[in-house]
Amino acid sequence: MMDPIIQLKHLSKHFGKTKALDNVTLTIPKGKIIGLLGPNGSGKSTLFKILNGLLAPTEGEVLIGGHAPSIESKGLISYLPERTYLNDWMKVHELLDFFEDFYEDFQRNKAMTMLEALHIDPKAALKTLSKGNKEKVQLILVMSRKAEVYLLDEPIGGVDPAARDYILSTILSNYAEGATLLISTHLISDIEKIFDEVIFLKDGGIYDYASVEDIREKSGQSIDELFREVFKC
Amino acid sequence: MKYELKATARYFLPIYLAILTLSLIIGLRGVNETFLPFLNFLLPTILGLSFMGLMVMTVILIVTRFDKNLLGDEGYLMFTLPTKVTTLIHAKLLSSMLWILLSGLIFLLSILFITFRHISFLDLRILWDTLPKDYMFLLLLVLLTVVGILQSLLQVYASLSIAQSYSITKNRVLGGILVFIVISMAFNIFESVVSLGGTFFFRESPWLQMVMDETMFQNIEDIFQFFKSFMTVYLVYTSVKAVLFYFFTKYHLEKKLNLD
Repeated sequence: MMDPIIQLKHLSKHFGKTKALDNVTLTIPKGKIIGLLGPNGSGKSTLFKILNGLLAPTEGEVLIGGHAPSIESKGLISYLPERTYLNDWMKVHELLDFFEDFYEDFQRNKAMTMLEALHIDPKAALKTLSKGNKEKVQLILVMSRKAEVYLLDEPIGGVDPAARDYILSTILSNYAEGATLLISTHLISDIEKIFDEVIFLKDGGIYDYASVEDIREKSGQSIDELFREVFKC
Repeated sequence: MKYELKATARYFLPIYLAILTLSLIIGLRGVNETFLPFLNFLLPTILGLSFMGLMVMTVILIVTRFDKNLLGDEGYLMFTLPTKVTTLIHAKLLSSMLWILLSGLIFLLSILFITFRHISFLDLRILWDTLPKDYMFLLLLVLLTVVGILQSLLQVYASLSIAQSYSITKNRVLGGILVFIVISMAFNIFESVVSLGGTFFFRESPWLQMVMDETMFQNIEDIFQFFKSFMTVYLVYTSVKAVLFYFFTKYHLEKKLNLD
């Protein structure tokens, strides 16, 4: 196996009696695009939050590039949460300043190019933008960093189908070389073509972790079809 | 820090400006002006209301800035920045501190604007000269104010952080207020016990009796002296409280973060 970038050891997170994550052990290598798939409430967002140090795990250990969640690990990760986390009163170009100030690996010209391509005015205040456009701004900010790990939580959820393809290609063409992308999504058919590997999460545990090729060969199904079969209600 | 100031300045600067203009107008008109008599009533009322508004706003902003920016959705950004948690706390703490002090300054300025026609600066000079110059006392007073403000701010922050860690109530701010009340009560009880115990143990102490007698009847210098020792003790106590709250906040934001 190649160099691991993310290591989870016996990771658990309980909220009261519910186990959002239950004894997850997982090693994710560098340089892969990985789909994190699972139904609502299977622990995808919880996992992301723990990786980012936004939630403290109940038990177990997390290492990102060898660091526990800390300043060092946060410098390596570029995280897109499933909600809008930006200051509403800021203008788009002020957000670029903000990211430039805090992240050494932020590439401003890249962000400007993407804004232009998506017809977003850098002088616009964020609160005047539509929900979809806010999400685009957020994605642009996140993808303009030269990070080692990109954690994208539902990156195309709120975006119209026409923009989805552009955004997928934006993600693919902009992530730093050798980096690992972990993408959670419900819209599997739209996005599965870019995955190298997929992780199926079920009830806070790992149901399966395999390369896309293996799955297709073994089951003769697409990831989307398999997902529907595994998580049939 | 820079962004914290920018974010809060949007709210404070306009109201400062309004208050200063208003006081200036009142001051220029003079108190006994007969022109438009109803203004005599209206203007001070508006001014009073703006002061109340300023105070309420300061408190609300201190709470909501911490709650929204760190514990709400924006926390997803703030806590994923590669900065220390302490940096975030310091930024919040210092800018809140700055606004409180500025508000105090604005209050003084406004009083000055209103009254400048009626006071002579010569009188002030004479008053200043007759006051005993006790720099130690002044220093203690300033320190006590600053540390007192810091302590209260940190108590607010600690309460909010503790409330979010254990999800005490669905509403984070409500939980914070509950924790705040519980903490205040705990310290109140502790302080009452200590002071009661103190009086109990010292009630027959000849030393205390002596000190009391002295301060009652001696000159102003001795009273200052007594105040100073009292203030020093209080300053140390408040600082300890502030440090305690600081570490509570830090611990709960670092190790017990629980963003939903």
